[in-house]
Amino acid sequence: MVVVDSSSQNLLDLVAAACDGRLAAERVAELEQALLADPAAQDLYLDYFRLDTQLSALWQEQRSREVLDRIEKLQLVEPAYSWFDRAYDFISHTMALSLLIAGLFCTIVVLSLAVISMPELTNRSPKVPSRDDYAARIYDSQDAAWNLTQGQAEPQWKDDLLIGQPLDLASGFVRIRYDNGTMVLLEGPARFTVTGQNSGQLLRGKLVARVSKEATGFIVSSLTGTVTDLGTEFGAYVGPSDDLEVAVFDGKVRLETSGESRELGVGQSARVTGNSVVQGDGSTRFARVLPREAPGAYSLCVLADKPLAYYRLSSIVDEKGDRFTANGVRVAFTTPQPGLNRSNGFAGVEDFNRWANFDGGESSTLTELKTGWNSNAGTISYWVRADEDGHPTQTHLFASDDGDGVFGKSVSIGCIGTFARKDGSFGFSIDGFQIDAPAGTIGAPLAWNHFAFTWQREAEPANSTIALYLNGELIKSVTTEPWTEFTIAATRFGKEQSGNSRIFSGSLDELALFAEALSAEAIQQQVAVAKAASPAPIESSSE
Amino acid sequence: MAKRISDIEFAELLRLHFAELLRLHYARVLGFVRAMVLDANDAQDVFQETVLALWQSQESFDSEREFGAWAVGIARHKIFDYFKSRRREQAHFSDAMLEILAERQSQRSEDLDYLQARERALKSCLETVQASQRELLRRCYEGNESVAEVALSMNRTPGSVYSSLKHVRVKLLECMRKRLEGEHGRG
Repeated sequence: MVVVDSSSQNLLDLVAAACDGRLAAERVAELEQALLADPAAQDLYLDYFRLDTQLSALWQEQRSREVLDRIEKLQLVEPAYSWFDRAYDFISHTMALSLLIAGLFCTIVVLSLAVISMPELTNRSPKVPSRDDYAARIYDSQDAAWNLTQGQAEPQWKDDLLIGQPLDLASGFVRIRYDNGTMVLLEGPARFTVTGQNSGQLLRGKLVARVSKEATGFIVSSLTGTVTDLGTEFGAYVGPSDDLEVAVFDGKVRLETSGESRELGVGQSARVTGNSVVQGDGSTRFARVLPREAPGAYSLCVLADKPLAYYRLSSIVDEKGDRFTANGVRVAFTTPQPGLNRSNGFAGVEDFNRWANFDGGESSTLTELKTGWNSNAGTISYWVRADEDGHPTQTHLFASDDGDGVFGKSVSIGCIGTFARKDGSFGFSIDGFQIDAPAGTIGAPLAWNHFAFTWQREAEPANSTIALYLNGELIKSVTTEPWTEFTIAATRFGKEQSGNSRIFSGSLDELALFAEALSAEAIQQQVAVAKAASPAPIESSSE
Repeated sequence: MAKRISDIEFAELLRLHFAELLRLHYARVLGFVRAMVLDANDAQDVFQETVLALWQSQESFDSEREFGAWAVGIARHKIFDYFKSRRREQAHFSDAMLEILAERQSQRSEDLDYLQARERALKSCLETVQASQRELLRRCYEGNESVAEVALSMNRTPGSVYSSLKHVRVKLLECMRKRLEGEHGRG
């Protein structure tokens, strides 16, 4: 294997195209030329194909195991021997012995052959699960440990969950996302089965379900009762006695047993015991968020994405540990100075506002933020509370490769900048490319808003992307021609470089710079963590 | 007294052992064939012929030898047979280039420890890439959707998805190299 560096870009393009079957015939000679006298390039070429093969095998093996688990556990067919071994025998004796051998590694091949090549068996065999047979996915987990049956693969973050597939969580937390958007947070030890597109069965342990608007009517059943969502967030617990206990955090639910039905509202709890529904004592505690997402963990959430720089106020204002506190420093610029270029010192943010880095180390002003990052890929995120007054267009972050650029749509060459306008629009500019959210996107002033901007430059034409997020939601994304590759030599917050008056007036907090384009999920998580309910993360039900 | 296994049982053990060896070398051999035979369908044919040849000649395999080198050697023969017998209508490397790549591949000595470390490295490195990149890999490699379909559902162009795949593969290669260097002193 070889070290891959930026100078290999053209070679990489050729290798990737060859591997993906997209290399035009006339470029084969070009690839050969690149490989011919370069052993390192030859290694890269061979390794790339090998990795591609490994990745195929990895995912298709996982899927084949799921299929087998599904068939075995749901007992959809006569004893497994009948069709599987016939497939084995058929392949062994008639078709392709080679596929059988490889099939030990990649069972999906065997399954495919069983279904595709043997119609006489297809009629009596279960169909290979389609998308409709899956209802949910393991969305996230923390410290999860599983009770596994012999040969069962450990559920992973990437796994789709088949309807009927039991989960036996020994300890830790697992969050399941149904395709309709409902989130179920399982707290181990727990035994849970996705039983349908909008339902699940809890045999033991605790869960908290946050039901999406589209999924109202979500049902959790136990051996003794059923709880039906009526637009809500609720917790359910099944203990050793098999009693079902339910607590409502938001909205309402209907709790039913064979002999009784009762609706519960916010703050209420009840327990199904026997055929009766009795009032709960509110003593059961439910985890409504993963512990790492608990309020107080905002900075941990940001740090998990490995920022290049992260500026917060922990040593200036009481930030209450790692928690996001909407405070920030007011950074209105009151005395515009015409010569605000780097050589004269930047005063877009008043210099007396000293900012501490996340580690509590040396503070820095917003005039000398982290440099050395580049235009290839990155993310900027921060919280802003705009004043009611100020210039109609206000610059937020501004960064330049050499300090000579002027922030503007057509001339911001070598610059990266973010801005917002009083009309509720906001946007991002990079090397002359600009993307704007429409007017009215941002709400009223004096409210805290989370902004995030991502960029990913690709060498291929029209494949580079820029995206705008507001409060965790993707507002706009464009795909465009690649911009110039450059490195940032100066960064600051509050005012662009030229001597005009587009100065930010408001407060700023939790400014983070990343060297890669964060995923939408990562950005959503920042906001979710900040907005998580302010009480302690472990909620207790109450009557 | 230990039970004496029958000839049939012994043959079964050998078969399972052989299959396990092949499983461990699967990506190396198939990856090599695909790198040499650029057409994906033809590469699958050549790989199947290779596996069949391996299976048929397993009794001649010297267990003191490294299985992977033996398998790559047979694959090499099958690849050159393929190029001799086909009319070469499709784009392909020159004979000189094929020889160089085959020689390069043959020079690699990889014991079982290394192969297992490589599998571990891949799984470990997959945990280090962004969730959105893992999701993209899953969708593209799981086999249920074409890249074009994935691109359509993401409101992207296929070229853009291919480009993202390239990025994440390179990341994985680099990550695996570092891990294997740390574990085995080589990438």
